[in-house]
Amino acid sequence: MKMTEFAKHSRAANDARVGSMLLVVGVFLVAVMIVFSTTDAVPMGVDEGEMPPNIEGKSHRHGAGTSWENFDLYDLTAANWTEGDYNATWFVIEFMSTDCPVCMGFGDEMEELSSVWSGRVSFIAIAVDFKFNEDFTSTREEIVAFQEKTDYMGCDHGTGNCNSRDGGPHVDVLYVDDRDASSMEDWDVSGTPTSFILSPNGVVIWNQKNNAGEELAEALFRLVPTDGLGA
Amino acid sequence: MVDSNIMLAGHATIILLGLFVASPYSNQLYKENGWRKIFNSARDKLLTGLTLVLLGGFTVSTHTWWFHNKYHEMGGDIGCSAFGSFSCGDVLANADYNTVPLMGIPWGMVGMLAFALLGFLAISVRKEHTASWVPLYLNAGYVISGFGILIALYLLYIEIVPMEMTFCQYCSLAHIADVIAFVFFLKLKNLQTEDEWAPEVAAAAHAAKAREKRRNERKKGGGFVKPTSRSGDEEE
Repeated sequence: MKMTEFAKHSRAANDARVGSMLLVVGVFLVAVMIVFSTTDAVPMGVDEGEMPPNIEGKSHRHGAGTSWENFDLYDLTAANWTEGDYNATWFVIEFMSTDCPVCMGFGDEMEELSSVWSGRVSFIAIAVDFKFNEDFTSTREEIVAFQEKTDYMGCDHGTGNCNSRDGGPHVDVLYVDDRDASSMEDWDVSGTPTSFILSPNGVVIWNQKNNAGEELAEALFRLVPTDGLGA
Repeated sequence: MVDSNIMLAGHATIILLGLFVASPYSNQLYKENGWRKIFNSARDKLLTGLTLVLLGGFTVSTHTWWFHNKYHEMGGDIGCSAFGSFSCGDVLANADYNTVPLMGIPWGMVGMLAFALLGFLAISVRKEHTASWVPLYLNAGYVISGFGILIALYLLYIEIVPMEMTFCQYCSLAHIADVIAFVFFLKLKNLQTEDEWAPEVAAAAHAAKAREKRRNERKKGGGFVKPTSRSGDEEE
């Protein structure tokens, strides 16, 4: 092959690849731009400004007897909620254990807060067991007894009566069975009680771990609007 | 908003068009002049079909990534709810499985990168099918799309076992596009070793071989060997 023909052939070959590369990169960038310009994704996580993992399982309402219903946290959130819209429900997610003495003592505050914020904030207690501690094992009956503050031996390390916890029945608190601790792991919760506040669209606006020194009650008054509450 | 399954049909149409172009049924579209002359060449048909399949895989992967982002924006299930066992929301919003393990890249983005890379290989080969790097590019396409099948099998396992038979049809269509691309790259690899790949080059090679054979025969005969020009043609 003559040198001129070789050069021509080589140049054509290089041009083919450069042209293909430019075409593919161009299409790729256009696709990326379309995706970024039409979405505003919230990162997944449990810190403030992040979308927490979903919680799915069975839930129990006060007075529902032995009936447990399906629970899906994402189904409760309002995806299209915009800031300033007070006609919506905020969420308190409380990871707790019926065998946790601190949770027994926290029962009165939960009762009081859920009553005060009724209609504006939905209180959801996620009842967990600790895999590494045999004292922290519960049953659904025990969870219901804790929720309704009824006579049942097995709370507080398995040796206390559930009706001995502080406060009254948790009428406005929904209890979710997470005894396999799957949601607890998803939410990176290492102990109980651990609280989170979610905005109506499900995004975390307060994580107890990141706000040492601030109580849940204080955080609620700081973050959740009180306009029209109790009216 | 357009139903998500209708949008899925758009991606599927591109892939089906690619399959049709590469199939024998497209031969009837052949015309001697214009762009339709590609339907007379197995190589052009396969490469054009492959490019379309990869384009369909790329667009559906982009859509999957869009769903991933949209889901994390809205926090609720969107689209894909028309079929009972199909739920892209459940699959793409599952924080445990919706990204590449350890790397955290959404699977849709991985699909986009893979199909873009395969597209680069296919378009380059289509533009310069006689280049020296063509076998390398075809092998690379074969290996990459084959690796994609392994990933598709892993994701299928996740949909069947941990997610208990919950499928995302957008993901599934991307997997199908990858399998088709794998088959097309394999066929191209085989075709590349045959005369049909580049008939003009093959004809020239055969002619040169025949000339060489004639010259050798004359040499054997011990007679006068007529000098040839630099281009290899015998002087008249």
